[in-house]
Amino acid sequence: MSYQPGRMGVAEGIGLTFVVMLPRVFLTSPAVTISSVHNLAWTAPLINWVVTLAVFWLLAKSTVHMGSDLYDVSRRLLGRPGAWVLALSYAALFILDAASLLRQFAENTLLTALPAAEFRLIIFWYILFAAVLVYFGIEGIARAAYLVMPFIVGGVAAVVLLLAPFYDVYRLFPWQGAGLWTAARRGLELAGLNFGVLLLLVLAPSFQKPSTIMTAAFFGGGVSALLRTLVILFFLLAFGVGVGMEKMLPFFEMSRLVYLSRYVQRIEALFIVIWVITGLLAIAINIFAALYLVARPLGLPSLRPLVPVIAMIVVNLAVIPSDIGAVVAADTRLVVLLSAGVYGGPLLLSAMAYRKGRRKKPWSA
Amino acid sequence: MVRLTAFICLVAALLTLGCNGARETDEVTFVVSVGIDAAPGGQVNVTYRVVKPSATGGEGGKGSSEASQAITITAPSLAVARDLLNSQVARAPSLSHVKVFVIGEELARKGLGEAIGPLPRFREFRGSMYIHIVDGTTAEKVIRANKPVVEKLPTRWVEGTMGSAGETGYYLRTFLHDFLVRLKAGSGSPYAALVGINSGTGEARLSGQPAAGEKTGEYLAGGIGTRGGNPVQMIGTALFRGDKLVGKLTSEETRMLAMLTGDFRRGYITIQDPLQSKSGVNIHLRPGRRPKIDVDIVDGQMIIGIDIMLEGEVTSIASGINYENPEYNQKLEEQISAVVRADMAKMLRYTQQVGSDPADIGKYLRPRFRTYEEFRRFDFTAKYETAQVDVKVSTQVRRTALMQKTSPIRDRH
Repeated sequence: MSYQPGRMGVAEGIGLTFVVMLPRVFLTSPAVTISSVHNLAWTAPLINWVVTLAVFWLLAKSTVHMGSDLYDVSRRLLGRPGAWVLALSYAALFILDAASLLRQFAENTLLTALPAAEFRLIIFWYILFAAVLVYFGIEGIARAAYLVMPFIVGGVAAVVLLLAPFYDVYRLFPWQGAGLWTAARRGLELAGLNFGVLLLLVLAPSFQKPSTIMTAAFFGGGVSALLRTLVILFFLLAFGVGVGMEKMLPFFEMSRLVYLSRYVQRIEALFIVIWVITGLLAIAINIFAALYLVARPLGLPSLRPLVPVIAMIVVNLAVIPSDIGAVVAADTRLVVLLSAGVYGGPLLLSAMAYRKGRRKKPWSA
Repeated sequence: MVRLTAFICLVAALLTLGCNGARETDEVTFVVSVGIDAAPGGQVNVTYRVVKPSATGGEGGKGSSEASQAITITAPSLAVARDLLNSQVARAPSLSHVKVFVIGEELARKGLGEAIGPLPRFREFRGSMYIHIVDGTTAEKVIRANKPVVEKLPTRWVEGTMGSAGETGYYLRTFLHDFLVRLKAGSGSPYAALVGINSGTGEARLSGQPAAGEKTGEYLAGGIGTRGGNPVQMIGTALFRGDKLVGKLTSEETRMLAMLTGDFRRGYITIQDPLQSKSGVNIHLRPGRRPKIDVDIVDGQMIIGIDIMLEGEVTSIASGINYENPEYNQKLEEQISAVVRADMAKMLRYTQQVGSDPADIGKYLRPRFRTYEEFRRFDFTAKYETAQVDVKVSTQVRRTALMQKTSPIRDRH
């Protein structure tokens, strides 16, 4: 497998962006957001998505004419050392993201579906399947992501609709929650939840046209952000702030609460499948992105020999936190770090592109 | 390389068939109801109703007494009791099919925070389980006495009674989820359906006198005069302040609560005939619209305005007076409104006295606050206890069932 990921279109781009940005909605992230923003937590995904999209658009606009991937763009704007630092930093962020997701999905599989299973076995299966997916290449992952997208959207919509008897609109009040300033600040801090959208720029040449990248970012990321918003909104409607902030797995709790009659209840097992698939695909996408960003500066002809190595690193990083509390705390810090990745690199590259453009003007004149 | 890939896929497919760490159904004992009572020395008596799968399945299904068995264990906590149960039933106990938690009155009065507060942490419990409070006796006695007549299993009885709560409004469907959310919300108080054991002598124990103009008596669980059938009755509501049981609503008061919460779907009411007080008129009531509740704070006092609209259908006129006539019909409507207004005011007064807000009237004040902190600092209970309540009830008798007028009975004295 060459480092060249192959040709992909809008559908693949949407699938990739959607799946890589979504998994934390099935984890503790919504409850962590509610803990800090309270009743207004549902606005956080919207705020950080709008800001991320603006930053993404800025970078895409200022570098898209270069027609190359993030590493190439960095090399032209920052020079080879700068590009190395940037590529390896982003590779590290993708690896950390994969490790955090791996640990959380493994822990939550133990918690929800297989309480008597051996933890090491679960983490082994997760990483094995993620590695196999990476081994087959990003095109296959992207198409799988696009195929499962309607099922994920349909599944989330079904839970939201089936929980209707438990909603109380007054649970959204007091509407300012922890305050408008806190909501805005946390919204910006949580931009790291959209870190995956940068994948489109990492693999830019595969998408061939700038319009493909922008469309994929807008729709893939938009649907993902909308789902995150809806899950937090309806979770608040059903649980309120007091109980909502206690939960380890808000979406699982929502699916577990469904009770329409004695015949429509206990449906959470159906949704465990959905979030396991989402988690696996997201881990695989993150590993692929990290591999790509390592292979590019090193000029490696193929990614495949690195798959087991990166998979081992991901597993080792995943098992560092001693307990689930430490995992959640580490992930909360990681999201802030990923936010730095969302803002830092793109703004730096945009600024450099702008500066370079200004410098060029007198020459061209 | 292709061979290696195929090998990995084959091995993975073979090894992931089935579930790692899951249990076969014949290795598990399913508990369907859990009773919790206070025991000496800070312990709890936990009563489990355990089903026998062989007795419940297929055509050879047996009666409720043979299909399940009640086991009581004294332990310091629910978790220890669960482990001790394992020593007796020879299979791993699973609480994932529990339908109801039945709590004894003594424990409920002491406070449920320690007994059920931690439940949501455990994966086998879910918010869609029910919670019932026992009136005047223990949960163990209720679980042991529960012998459903129509249903084969006590769980079906629980689901059936809870599912049909809207048919009368005499008890409310109380999910564990709602109870726990109320425990931690800034407004509203938890409540639960009341269960009790009937003596079976046929003697009714009235728990409240009917309001002026009404003929229906008021009952608490176990108080309905019956002979035969299941001795366990569900009627009335247990009121909580924080996690402590502080009062009980009778059947009629519970129906008023249902009207306020929007859970009242339909039910019969027997009122005194406005023109011949010895006779009764039966009305089938249902809500005309959602209740309108306005709450305001004026000079530090909470003012609650309640506007209920009901629709009725006359199903019986014992006196034979022609209430189908619009002139008489209005008298009937006024009588119904007056009865419901009096019942509603009585129920609200009682909840104010005990400092419990089961209708979550406090939530209507939530939009007045800007931030969550501001809202949490506000003392709803104190304001609710001294609130001024104005109740307005209007009734429209829209139908007269299958008779359009009442002809007099000949030679009737």
